Amino acid sequence: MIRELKVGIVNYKCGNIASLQSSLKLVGHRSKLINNDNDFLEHRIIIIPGVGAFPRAMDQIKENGLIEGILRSAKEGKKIIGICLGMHLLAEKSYEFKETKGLGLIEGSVNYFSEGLQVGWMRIEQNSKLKNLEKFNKKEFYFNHEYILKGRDKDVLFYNNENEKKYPSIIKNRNIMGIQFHPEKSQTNGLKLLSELLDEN
Amino acid sequence: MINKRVIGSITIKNGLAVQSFGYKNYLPMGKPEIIAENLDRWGVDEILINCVDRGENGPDVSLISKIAQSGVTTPLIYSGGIATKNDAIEVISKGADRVVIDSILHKNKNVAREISEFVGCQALIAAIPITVKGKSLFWYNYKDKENIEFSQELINTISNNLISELILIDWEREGSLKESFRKEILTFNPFKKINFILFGGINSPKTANNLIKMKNVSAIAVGNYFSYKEHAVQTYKKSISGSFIRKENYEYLKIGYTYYDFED
Repeated sequence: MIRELKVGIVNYKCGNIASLQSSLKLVGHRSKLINNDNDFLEHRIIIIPGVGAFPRAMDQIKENGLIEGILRSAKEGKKIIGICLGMHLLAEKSYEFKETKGLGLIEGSVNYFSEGLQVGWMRIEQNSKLKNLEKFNKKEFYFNHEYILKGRDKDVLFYNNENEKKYPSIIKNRNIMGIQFHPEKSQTNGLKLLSELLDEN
Repeated sequence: MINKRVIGSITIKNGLAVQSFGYKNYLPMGKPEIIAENLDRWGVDEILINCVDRGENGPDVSLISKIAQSGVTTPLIYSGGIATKNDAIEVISKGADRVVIDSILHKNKNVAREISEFVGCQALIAAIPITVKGKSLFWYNYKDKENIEFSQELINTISNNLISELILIDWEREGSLKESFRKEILTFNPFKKINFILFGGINSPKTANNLIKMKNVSAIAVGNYFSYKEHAVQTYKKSISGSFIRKENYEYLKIGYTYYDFED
């Protein structure tokens, strides 16, 4: 089924945009790139992708004039989904390389993870119940990061447990959601999750 | 717990996937994007796109773009011709999740640092083809066909939060009938806190089983073998004992996602 165009991808030139668009197509969603402030208007769901380092990414978002549009969309109640680095950008601040202010849409900060780099497939575990996402409990997804978002426990839907050290893998505050792993690169599980998130009311 | 990975590797020369024999002789296999689609379908944990003839030509951006747009949802590692920060950014924006550098570690360490700071060290991997001569090991430079000694400066550069993982290549055993990754390479570890991806001559699941259990080995990469044997990936993964790797059933064909070719 081909669905209406509602997904916009913030193009701040730090993301794996082609992979994300390709995976969205697989679950039947067209998407368009958001290159400037006006482009936010036509979308109901805004995805902030991300591969890279936090300070450079924030600079790129600023230089491309995209901050206001993200904040305005959040205030209007549009669904904002940050993926990996995009999740980190939602936080209040980050300590990657240096202290850098984030978008402030999720309470918390981004810190170095004491267990080091997390590259590979991991099982996520449920922290709080959200009916339509319960089926993803203990499913495996692809992670690639060395910093984590330390947020409020009540916002954490799923977490990871590496050597008894937990960190959020999916975090949600009202219409704002951050995903630490790459659903667009997590084969079947990732496609199912994307489908669920984009199709829910 | 983070799983160790089985990576499917595709060697590409002149835009064609090839079977490589020690990076000296090649047999054509077909379109790289078709092989990537198969590896994706069979459930490898990552796919390594290894373009061996890019050199001064820069990365093969159109190829990575073609593979990404073919609907592959397995993480892609791209290797070949990355010489600048912009090369790395472009390859990632077109579909790669991680990029591999090799010769610029010799030629221009500052560029390597710049790439790392921009794309993040989690997205950067270094490849080291290793020559074994008696008990000595050398970094093999494909282009000039020379063996280079490992300098302390190079080891320090690599160890200093520059990259996420190192691909150690037993290039002389790559595509060889002499099975197994040589133990001399495995005992070589001057790098601090860096995990290895092993590549070259790891054909039998028995060898893989032994290698992947090693503490500093995070993944093994397998090339030709996966394309020549029925159910190779599944059998390979199944034969690795314990819970080191992801063995979740792959349901791609069952769920029947359709790839929509939208007009822009």
